[in-house]
Amino acid sequence: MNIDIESTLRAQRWRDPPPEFLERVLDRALQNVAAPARTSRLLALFAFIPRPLRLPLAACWLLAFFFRVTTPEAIPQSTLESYAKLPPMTPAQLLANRQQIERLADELLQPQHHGVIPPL
Amino acid sequence: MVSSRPYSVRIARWLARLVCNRRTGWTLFCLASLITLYYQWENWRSARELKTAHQRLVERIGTDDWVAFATPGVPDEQNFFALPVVEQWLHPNGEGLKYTIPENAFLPPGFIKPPIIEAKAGVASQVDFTAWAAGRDLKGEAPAVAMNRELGDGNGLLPQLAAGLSRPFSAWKPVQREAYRKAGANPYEAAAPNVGNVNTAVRDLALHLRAAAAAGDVEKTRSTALILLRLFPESATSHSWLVGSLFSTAVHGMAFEALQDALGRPSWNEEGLRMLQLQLGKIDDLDVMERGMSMDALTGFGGGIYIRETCRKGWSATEGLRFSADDGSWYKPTEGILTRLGYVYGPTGWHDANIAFFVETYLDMLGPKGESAWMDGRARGEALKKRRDEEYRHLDWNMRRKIGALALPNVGNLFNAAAEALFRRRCLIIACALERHRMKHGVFPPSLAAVKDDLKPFPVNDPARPTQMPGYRLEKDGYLLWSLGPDAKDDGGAKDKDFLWRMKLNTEQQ
Repeated sequence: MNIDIESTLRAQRWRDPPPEFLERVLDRALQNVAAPARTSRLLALFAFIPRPLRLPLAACWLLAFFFRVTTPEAIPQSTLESYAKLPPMTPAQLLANRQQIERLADELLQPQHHGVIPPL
Repeated sequence: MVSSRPYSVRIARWLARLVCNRRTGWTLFCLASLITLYYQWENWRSARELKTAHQRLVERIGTDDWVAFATPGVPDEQNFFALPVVEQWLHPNGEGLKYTIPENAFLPPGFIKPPIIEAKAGVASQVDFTAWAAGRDLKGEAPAVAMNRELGDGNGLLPQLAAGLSRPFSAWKPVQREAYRKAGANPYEAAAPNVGNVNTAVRDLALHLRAAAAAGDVEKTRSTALILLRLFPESATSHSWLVGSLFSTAVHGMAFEALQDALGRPSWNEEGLRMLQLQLGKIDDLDVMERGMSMDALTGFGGGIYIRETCRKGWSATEGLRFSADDGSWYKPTEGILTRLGYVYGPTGWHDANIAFFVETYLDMLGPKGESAWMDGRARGEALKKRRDEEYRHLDWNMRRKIGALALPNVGNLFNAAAEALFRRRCLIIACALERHRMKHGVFPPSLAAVKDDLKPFPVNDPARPTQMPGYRLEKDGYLLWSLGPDAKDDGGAKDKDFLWRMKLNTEQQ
């Protein structure tokens, strides 16, 4: 048996919907379309980023921004500037000072005072 | 169909398409993002570490400005070290200054030095007068008297120095604070005094003292004892830096040894003993060591900040650092260059972390404030070693630790040495009081309570017990004083467990 299940529908006479109905539906449709249009333009920018990278990259840059903003000022800027104005204080001088101290400690102090503080 | 383009161009285009595609671009972008994140995270956490370390530094030392911390000067007319006889030894030495004491300045020409019998079990070392006199014709003179006569007035230097003993200070020139100011606050460029032949000069002065005391020369014993303490030991404390502190501990030790020997001879009068006590009471060896270490921490901190602030302006700030020992291998120079590049172009946080590491470790070595804090020095050292083993295992390539670790001196437990020097100093102060008691009553007292009033102006507690005096007991021909030592256990003056100071009265003229 081959029953045409749409036959009843086709048999019905077509009536145009009332103009009020059309106007209402059209208005609503226009309102709904306007908003997604703006969103999609914004999304189009993100769409440029491959989907699997969007979230990790966003998290990465947000975190970087967070660290940047919350990094404290370790030493007051004025102090840093005054240190930077010092005449050249080369690391070689720093090391020479360390070696002089170590040599003197070894020479001048008795062996029982050569303690356990390690060479770091 | 064969392409008209050359083969090499086609290869280049193929390679360019392979590399310059969207996927490679995104990979690079992701890498750049991760590196940015790492830089920000590193800066963030290291700035916190440095902020904490800086706060701790300021709280512990009281300042982060080493020029303000440096010892101020004293007027020449109040400075024992500015006597003309001392200034004649002062010579410019490049950018610094050097005190050059002529060899055998205090000994007459041709004088043969006597052998010294080494100290043992807390008894002071002594001059071997018998060995010195052997083979000499002293014409009936006692060896000590003959030696004292031969030594005389130290080529005329002792009276000139004795004339300045009323000056209240003894400070090296140039004055530390002025020297730092002149060097634009660079502590390593500042003109630091350098005293040559100092060990010999102290030993020769000590010989004068020992010989005078053994010969019964009361006046020379008094003035030489004071000169011995003031000329080099006291002046070494006038510069707050670790080199000066080490120097002070060492030369004080030599002077204390001679004084201990001299106090065992009946060559003292009331006035001489009181002046000796006052001179000894001026200095606290633990305080001297603490100031030296504090200055070293401050200048090391400043050095780190300087490198941080200037390393991007050129290579000079890092080029002196030997980041890898040159063992002849091909990669070591490359490793050194890469490390320097890392510090120039890497995150600022690496510098902050290094400075924080240096400061924190140094302050751990320095320990808390307090008179008995030195006793934990060994435990602090062991804790540092443990921490190094656990936390800083890969120090060779740890960019957050390398510079800090390079700047830290491996000097052992300096506070133990300073505490022992302080104990000996206090024993000498107590010995003066006991000697006065002996002069008055003929014997040493059975307990230190008998000389308590005499000792009132001086801090004479056991460095290991802030509220008690050192242990004391009478012995044959003298007495024993002992400190609990770093283990803080009273072993009743046991050898090798407590710090010992033994007085053996020597009334025979030698």
